[in-house]
Amino acid sequence: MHEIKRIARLAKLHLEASEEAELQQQLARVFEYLERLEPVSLEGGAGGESAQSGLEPQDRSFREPAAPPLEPEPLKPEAAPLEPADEPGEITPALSRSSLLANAPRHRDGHLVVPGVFSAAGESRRGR
Amino acid sequence: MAAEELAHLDSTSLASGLRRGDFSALELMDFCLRRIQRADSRLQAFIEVFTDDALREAEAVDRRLAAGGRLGPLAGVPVAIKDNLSIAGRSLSCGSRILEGYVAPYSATAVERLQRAGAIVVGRTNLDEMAMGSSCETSIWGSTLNPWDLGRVPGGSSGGSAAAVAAAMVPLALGSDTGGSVRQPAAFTGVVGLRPTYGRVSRHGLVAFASSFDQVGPLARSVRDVALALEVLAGPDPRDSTTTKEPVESWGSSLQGIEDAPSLAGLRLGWCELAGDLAVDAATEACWRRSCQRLEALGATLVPLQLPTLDQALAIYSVLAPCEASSNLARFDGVRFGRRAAEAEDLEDSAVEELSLEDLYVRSRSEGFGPEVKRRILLGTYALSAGDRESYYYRARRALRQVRRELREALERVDALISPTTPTSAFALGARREPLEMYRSDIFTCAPSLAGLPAIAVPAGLTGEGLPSSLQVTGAPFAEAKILRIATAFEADRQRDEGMLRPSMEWMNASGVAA
Repeated sequence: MHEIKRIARLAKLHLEASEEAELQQQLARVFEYLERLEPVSLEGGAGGESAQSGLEPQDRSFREPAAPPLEPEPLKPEAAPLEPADEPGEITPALSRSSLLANAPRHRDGHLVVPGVFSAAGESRRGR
Repeated sequence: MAAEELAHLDSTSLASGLRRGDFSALELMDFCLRRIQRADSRLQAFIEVFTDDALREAEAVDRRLAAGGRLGPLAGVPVAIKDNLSIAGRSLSCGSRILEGYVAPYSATAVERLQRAGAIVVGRTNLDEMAMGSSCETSIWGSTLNPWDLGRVPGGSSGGSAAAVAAAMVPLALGSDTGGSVRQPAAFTGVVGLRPTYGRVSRHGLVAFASSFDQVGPLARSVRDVALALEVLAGPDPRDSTTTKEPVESWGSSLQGIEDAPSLAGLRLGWCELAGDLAVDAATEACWRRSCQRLEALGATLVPLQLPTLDQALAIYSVLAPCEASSNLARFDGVRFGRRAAEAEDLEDSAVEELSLEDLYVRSRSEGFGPEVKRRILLGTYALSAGDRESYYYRARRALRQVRRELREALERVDALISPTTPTSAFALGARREPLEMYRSDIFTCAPSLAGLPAIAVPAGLTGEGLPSSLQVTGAPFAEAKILRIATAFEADRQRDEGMLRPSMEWMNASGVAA
C-alpha cells in the first residue's frame, strides 16, 4: 500500500500525513488477510462462467421478463389520444426542482453553483 | 393497565390491546416518550425524537378507533427508524458530517409502508457512520450504549434501533443489514432481528452502502413481530427495480399456535463446526451448545455440514462491500446536497484564489467523512483499481459465486442453516481499535448477506456474564416462512424455561432523572 497517495487521489480524498501512516498500516493488515482469496487463473473462472457478474443463473429470475419489442407504429394524420400503458414503466410524479435544490449548499436561478471549470484556477490545477 | 406493563409487550400484543381498548394510542405513546426521556440521556439510541408529532399522530389513531374507522395492522405502534432511511421533511444524517443540513425530500418505501400500516414514527436512531461498522461508535453523534451494560457497545451498525427496542423505548424499529447490521446488534442487545431475502423489501430511500447486499430489516421483541413487520414491508416497489414479485405471505398470523406446542419434528438443520475462522469464545460456545440441545429436543435433526467456502466469506465481504461503497459514496461531493467545504465557499468569492471544482470535491469529502468511511473508500478504490484479472475485486467476485452455490446447494439438503449470530457477546466500548478485529464480528452474518439469503437472529439466552447470546437461522431464498417458524418454536421453548430477555436497567433509576 505504498500507493496510498495515488489511491486517495482517485477517491477524491485528502489525507493528512498522520492519517496516511496509520491508514497504510491498517490497510496492509486487511490486505494480508485478503490474500486468502484464491488468485484467479487467466483461463477464466470455474465452468467458464463470467466471474465478473458473480450472478447465478437463478438470480435472473429477480428480473422482470423482457418486454416484447415495440412494433413501429405507422404515422397517423391525426394523433390518437395516448392509451395509458398497461406495462410497467408508467410515469409517476417526480420530485420538483425546488425541493431538490433546497438541499444544495449553493444554487442560483435554479442551478447548482460550482467553481468555474474553465477558469484560470481550473486550468492551472488541471495537471496536478 | 399499569403503564410499566407496556414495556413488556411486543408490537403484536400492543396493536391488539389498543383495538380492545386496554389502553389508548396516546397512553402508549406517552409511555414510550417518557421511557425515552428517562433512558436515552444515557443510552443515546436516538438522534432525534419527534415528540409533538408522535403525540398528535397517536391522538389521531385514537380518534379513528373511536369513530370505528379502519385501522392498519400496526395502528398506534411506536417505531424508531435508523437514520439512513429517509423520512420526508426530516433531517437524515447517516451519522456523518457529510450530510450536514440535509433534509429528506421524500420517504423511504419501508418507512411509508410502516406508516400506511398505522405505525407512528417516534424518531431517528443512531448508527455507525454510513452504516459502516459493528459497534455504533463511529457516528458523529457519539456512541450508543448497550442497555445490558453501559460499558459495552450495542453492536452495529443498527445499534441505535437495537438499543431502543432492548430498552423498551419502542417495541419495533427499522434497521438496514449489509453484512450483519441488523442481526449483530440484535444479538448484542437480546432482541430479534430479521434480514429478509435480497429483493424482498424495497431499498428506495435507504442511503446506499453496498447495493448488492443492502437490505432493510426489522428489529423487535418477538419473532412474530418481525414477521408482522415483514408482511407490511415486503413486496414489489416500482421505485426499486431489485424488488421481486414473490407473493407477500401472512407471516405474522402463520405463526399462531406454534408457541403453545413448539415442535421442529421432521426438520433438518445444517450446522458447521465452530473451528478455524468460525471459532467463538467459550461463553458463546456454551450458549450455542444449549441451543443445539434445545433444537434437538424440539425434534429437529441436526446435520453436520462441510461448507469450506465459509472461510472465505468475510474476506469476500471485506473486498466487495468497500468496492461498492467507494462507488456509491462518490455521490457525496459537496455540490448537490450535504456539506460543502467552508473554505471553498469563502475563497470562491475572492478573485485572488479560486478553488478548482476538484479541490471542492476533495475538501468537502475529506472534511465530511470520518476515518472508518475513508478507510473503506480507500480499500474499495484500491481493490478496484488494480484493473486486471488479478484484482482483489475480480478474485472476490469469483469466490462469491462459489459461496452462493455452496450455500444454496446446502439449503436443498436441509431446511435451514444454524449458527451463532456472533462469535462473542457485546464487547466493551473502545475495545476493537483494529479494523480487521471489528470486521470479524460479522463472521457468521456476512455469508447469508453474500448469498442474498433470509436470516434471523433470535435470542439464545444469557452468557455467564449475563450478556445476551443469539442464534442465527438462515433459509433458502424467499423461505422466510420457514425460518420464522423455526425461530418461533425456539423462542417459545427457550422463553418457557428462561423467560424473556430483558435488561434490568438499574442505571435508569440511579440516574436521578424523574420519570
